Amino acid sequence: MSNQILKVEGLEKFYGKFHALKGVDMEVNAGEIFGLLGPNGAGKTTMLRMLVGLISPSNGSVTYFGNLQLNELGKVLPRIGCIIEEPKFYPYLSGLTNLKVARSYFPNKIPDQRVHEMIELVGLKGRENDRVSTYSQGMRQRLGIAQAMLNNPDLIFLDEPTNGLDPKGIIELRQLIIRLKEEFGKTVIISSHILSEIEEMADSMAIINKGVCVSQGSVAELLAKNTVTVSVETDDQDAAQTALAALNYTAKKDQQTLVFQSELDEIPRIVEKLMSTGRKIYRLDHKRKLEDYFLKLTAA
Amino acid sequence: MRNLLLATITFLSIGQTAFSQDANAILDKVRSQFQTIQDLRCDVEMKFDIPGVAIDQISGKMIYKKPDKFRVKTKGLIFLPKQNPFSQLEILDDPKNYMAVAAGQAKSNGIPCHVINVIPTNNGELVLMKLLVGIQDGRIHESELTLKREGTVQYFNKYASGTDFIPTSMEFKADFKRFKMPKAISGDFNSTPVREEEGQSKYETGRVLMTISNLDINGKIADAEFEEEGS
Amino acid sequence: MIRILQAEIIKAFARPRSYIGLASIVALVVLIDTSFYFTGKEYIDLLFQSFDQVFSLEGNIINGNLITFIILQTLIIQLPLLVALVTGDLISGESALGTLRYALTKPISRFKFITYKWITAMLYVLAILILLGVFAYLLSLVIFGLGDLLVLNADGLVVIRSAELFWRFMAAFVFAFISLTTVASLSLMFSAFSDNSIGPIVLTMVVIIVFTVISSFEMSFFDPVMPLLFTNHMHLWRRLFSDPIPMTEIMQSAGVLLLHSAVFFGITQYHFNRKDIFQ
Repeated sequence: MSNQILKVEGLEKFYGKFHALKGVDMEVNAGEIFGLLGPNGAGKTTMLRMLVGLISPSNGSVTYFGNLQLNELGKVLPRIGCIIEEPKFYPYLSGLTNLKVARSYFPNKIPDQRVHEMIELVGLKGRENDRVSTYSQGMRQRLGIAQAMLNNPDLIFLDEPTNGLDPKGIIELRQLIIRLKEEFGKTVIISSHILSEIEEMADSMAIINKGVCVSQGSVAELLAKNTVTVSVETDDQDAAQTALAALNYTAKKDQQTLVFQSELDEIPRIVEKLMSTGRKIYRLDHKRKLEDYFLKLTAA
Repeated sequence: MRNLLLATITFLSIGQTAFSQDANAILDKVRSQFQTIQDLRCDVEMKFDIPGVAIDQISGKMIYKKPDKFRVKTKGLIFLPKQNPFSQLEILDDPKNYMAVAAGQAKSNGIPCHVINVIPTNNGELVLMKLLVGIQDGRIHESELTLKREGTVQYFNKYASGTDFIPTSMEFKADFKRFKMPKAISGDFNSTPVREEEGQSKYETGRVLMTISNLDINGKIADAEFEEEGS
Repeated sequence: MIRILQAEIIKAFARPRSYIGLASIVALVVLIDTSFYFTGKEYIDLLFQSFDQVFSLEGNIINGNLITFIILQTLIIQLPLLVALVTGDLISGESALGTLRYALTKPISRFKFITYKWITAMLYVLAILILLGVFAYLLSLVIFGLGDLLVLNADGLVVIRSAELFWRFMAAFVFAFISLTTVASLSLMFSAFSDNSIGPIVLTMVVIIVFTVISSFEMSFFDPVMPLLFTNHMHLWRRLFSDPIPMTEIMQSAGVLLLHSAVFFGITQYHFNRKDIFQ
């Protein structure tokens, strides 16, 4: 309880008749990376917008840092940093000037040194005097993180931070986010619709779908259940089914595919057994249960 | 129009040769005084009473030099009669330029005067001039000029005690068409339009009063002084 | 406060759009001065011809004061457009750019945010007027010299002596500032309601045009609404060049304009403080 940095209770939002958030409860502990997972349109951005005061909730309460409420944003905002949707800047100003504009909104003067430190942290040193219009998407994301970190916040909200990045950019950004937690002790809330992203970075997560929080817990706990769903495509389904039965697996036929549950480390033995039948194996893949779970939860 | 006027005055003048002789004699006296003046310089204070024009009084220097150079030097804008105020005297400079007909007597500002009609013989701007010349002092107290383009204009002269030929104040009075400026040109979008009432005259009477002091006659004024600075 | 204002000024003046107004003022002043230098006398003769039968106007008619007055009179119609071009974009431009959500997630209250935007708008108005005043006045004085001002009104002429003019021009600029403050507040209000840059600018101009057209009808049908049209009060600066000056009327109009500004500012604050920020 004492470690709790954010507590959301019964958060609701109506846009006219549309019920965008339907009473979300969520708890985030200090010093963790928290994943807010959900498909596009699930209500993640609406929720983040409410948490940073951009839109007002229709119902519900939010407690920040153990004792501050939504109506105390004046005290909350100096302690948070955020990127909501893609980071936006004044394209006709340099990265440095953009950061200086951002720092002007803080009541306590943020020194130039801090601004330059943040530029260095996100790897934009040398480009800070160039206009933002010349920056790549990845550079803008990093500049976004620099502006979110300007005030040395306790809590950082990042909304789909890897959107639009190339694979190298995604890796760099992930490393940076992990640094924020590990090196600087920040609590980071990341929204994403990509499970693997959350898996790789988050300590705990909430799955949100159609405005409802369908599941919440530690990522480690969920992944600890090593059960996977295996799919096999062969030229002889019956033979494969018999072979799998010999290993005590009950495989169900789903058109050209056999589907069954297994432990992840059993897969080499299953492959070996199927090969021993002498039949052709066209495909064998597996999905973690979490991914299954996510897909099931968020299925239309 | 001019011919008709000439004919009428000539007709009325027949049989009044004696009056004509009197008139010429009176004007000779005026001319002889005017002929002593080659140029003059004086201080002038100008007041304006022109309907539709708001303008403060202003002082300056007035200079005049024969035959017809005239200028008022001030630091600001002024309204002046189109005709130089001494033009009434310039005509009298040569008796061949006009025909004079006495038209009785009248009072100007309480001063008894001869009334003399002056008909120019040349085909100039002036059609007819009526002068009221003081019986006692032989100075022009009032004049009414009928001009081709400008219509009728009047001068009312006042003299300080003494015998100066140049008046101490000259009031110019003339009728002019009421000033009207389209809003689009003036840019004055907020004024309430003044609607003309039926039967109201389209003409207004404007006055310019020139009060003269520190008169300096025949002080020799260079022609260059009549040129506009910078022109 | 100074830091936020500095940031707002940097943002406003870093955009090329902000210089359109300033550059066009410089261009127009140069153009008007040049045209008067070459053909000013013809223009004055044309204006004056109906009056020119019996009186002649003597003196330096085409002088720096007259040209400044004509420039002011000409540009005062265009200035609202130039002002709206920038002030109409101050909030909606940020919204369209997506930067609004960043500013509002910083610890600055929305009331303060709007107040700073409003101050920035006023500073822009001031910049435009100072540029217009200084540039038009100085350039015209250098080219045409000092002199009395001949003001042409629909119902007559006013000649104002040179010594009287400096304070009248200053007062006219103050009045113009109050007028343009109303335009800036109106466009800022529209800007708070919009998420695109062009809408508030166009809407401000539409309001000004419609109000001006209604004013120019001079029909009794519109009489009840006339005092409510703020555009009707914007031209009152010209009355400072009357004789006598209708001070009560001018002060009343200034009051009406300030009241409009206050109402527009209030609506902006009320709406913006309750607005959900999506852009």
